[in-house]
Amino acid sequence: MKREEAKQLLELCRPGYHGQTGQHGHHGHRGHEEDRQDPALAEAFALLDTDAELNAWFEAQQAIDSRISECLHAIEVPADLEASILADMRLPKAHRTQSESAPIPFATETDRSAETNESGERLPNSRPWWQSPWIGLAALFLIAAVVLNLPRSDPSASSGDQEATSGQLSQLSQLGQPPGAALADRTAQPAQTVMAGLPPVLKFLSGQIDRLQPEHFNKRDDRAENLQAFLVSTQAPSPRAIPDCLGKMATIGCITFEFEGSQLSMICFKNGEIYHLVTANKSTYPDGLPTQPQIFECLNKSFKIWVDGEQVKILAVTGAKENIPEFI
Amino acid sequence: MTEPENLNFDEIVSAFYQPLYRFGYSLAKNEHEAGDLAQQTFFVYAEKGDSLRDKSKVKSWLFTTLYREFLKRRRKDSRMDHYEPEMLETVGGSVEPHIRRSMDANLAVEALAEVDAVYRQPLALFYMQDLSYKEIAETLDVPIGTIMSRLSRGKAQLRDIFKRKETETT
Repeated sequence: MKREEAKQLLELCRPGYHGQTGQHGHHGHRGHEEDRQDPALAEAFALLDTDAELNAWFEAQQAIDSRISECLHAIEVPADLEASILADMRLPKAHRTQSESAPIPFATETDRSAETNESGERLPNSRPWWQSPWIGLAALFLIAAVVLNLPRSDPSASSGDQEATSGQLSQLSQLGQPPGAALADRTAQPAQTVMAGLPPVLKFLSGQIDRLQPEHFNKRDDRAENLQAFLVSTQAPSPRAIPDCLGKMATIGCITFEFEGSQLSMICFKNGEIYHLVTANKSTYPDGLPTQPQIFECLNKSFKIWVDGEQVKILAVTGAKENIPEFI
Repeated sequence: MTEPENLNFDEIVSAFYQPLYRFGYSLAKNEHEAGDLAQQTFFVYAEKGDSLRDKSKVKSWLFTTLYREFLKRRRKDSRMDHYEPEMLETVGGSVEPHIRRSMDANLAVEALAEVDAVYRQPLALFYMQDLSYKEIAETLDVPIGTIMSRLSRGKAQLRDIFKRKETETT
């Protein structure tokens, strides 16, 4: 092998190789070690032992390359970058500071085009989140609180059998709420983000209950059996059995919802507090079925969910889970 | 070091956030954007890393994601409707004079900025020594033979520029 040919091969060596000594640069990369083991380079390396001029040239090249490599490794990485990345990733997806999507490497062209289409523009002058993580987090929680309280689509009121009377509306007044006011207790505790693991159907119901107004009911009646019969007549899920404690309470009305293709019905009971009994057919229930009764807390509401024969029932109350009556 | 395919998400962040930030900095020459690029890269990995079947390629996957994110931003910034990768490579930020980093880092980044654009990214990845030639080729989506020839020519340029700048500095 001639010197020029050896030079061309040795030019491929990555920084950190120091000839026959086999010493490595301080960056701990194994690339130069791999280079030394490469059979294609073996002959060139062997020539270093016998060609002093080639050896000097190679040492000089390695010295400058190692220096450049050291300089690039001197780029200072922000001390809080790792912690900030991990903290951001532990937030629920909707709360993360990054929302742009990038093309997926090693993905199919179809995947890539799909990724490109869903990306949004970053504000050009936005301050990087890791410069002020606390401000970023505070803003995120504020946004989350606003989003969770945004009005959603109106509940179904298509049955047209709305029988609200002034007498029934006055029942709401007796509960400390004026006619037309939301049934849910809006003066309860401020929003707490306890959404992790909450079934989507409960998030949906939480929003519906927050916006529920007397005029939204499909039927208003103070007797549960009348509301059950009404639901049966409209082919909506109707609770075959009312839990004992609820059965002794007067009702306010009932309403039906559609969620992910599944029909849900809700009967509202009153007894100083308001209780919402939601019924769905097990066969069309949109979430995983609980094997035993489960309790969830979401914002200022608590939910108990259980399977009753061929039906799934959900009881929603305002406040903490302690407000759920022990009747199941 | 544990092989990349055996790392969990936290360990992957820990293993690669620094080289990714440095690569981002070499591209953008801006510490704000470098941090943003690193963050975005892990965000994409958290969202779509499952699509990576060969977990041993996670390192090149991350570098590729960061590089594409950089190109995408530059494409948007420069409002190029029909981009050529090599055109985009010529678009870079200007080195911030006030940023806190060592003189050495400044020297290397400025020297890289003076190299012909087509050599810049292969050189940065080569000298950072985080990727093999094959991985560099995958990251930049260029045949490995092209990478080798660009490195050969690019190294000659960079060495000359670096030596000149180092002499000026001293």
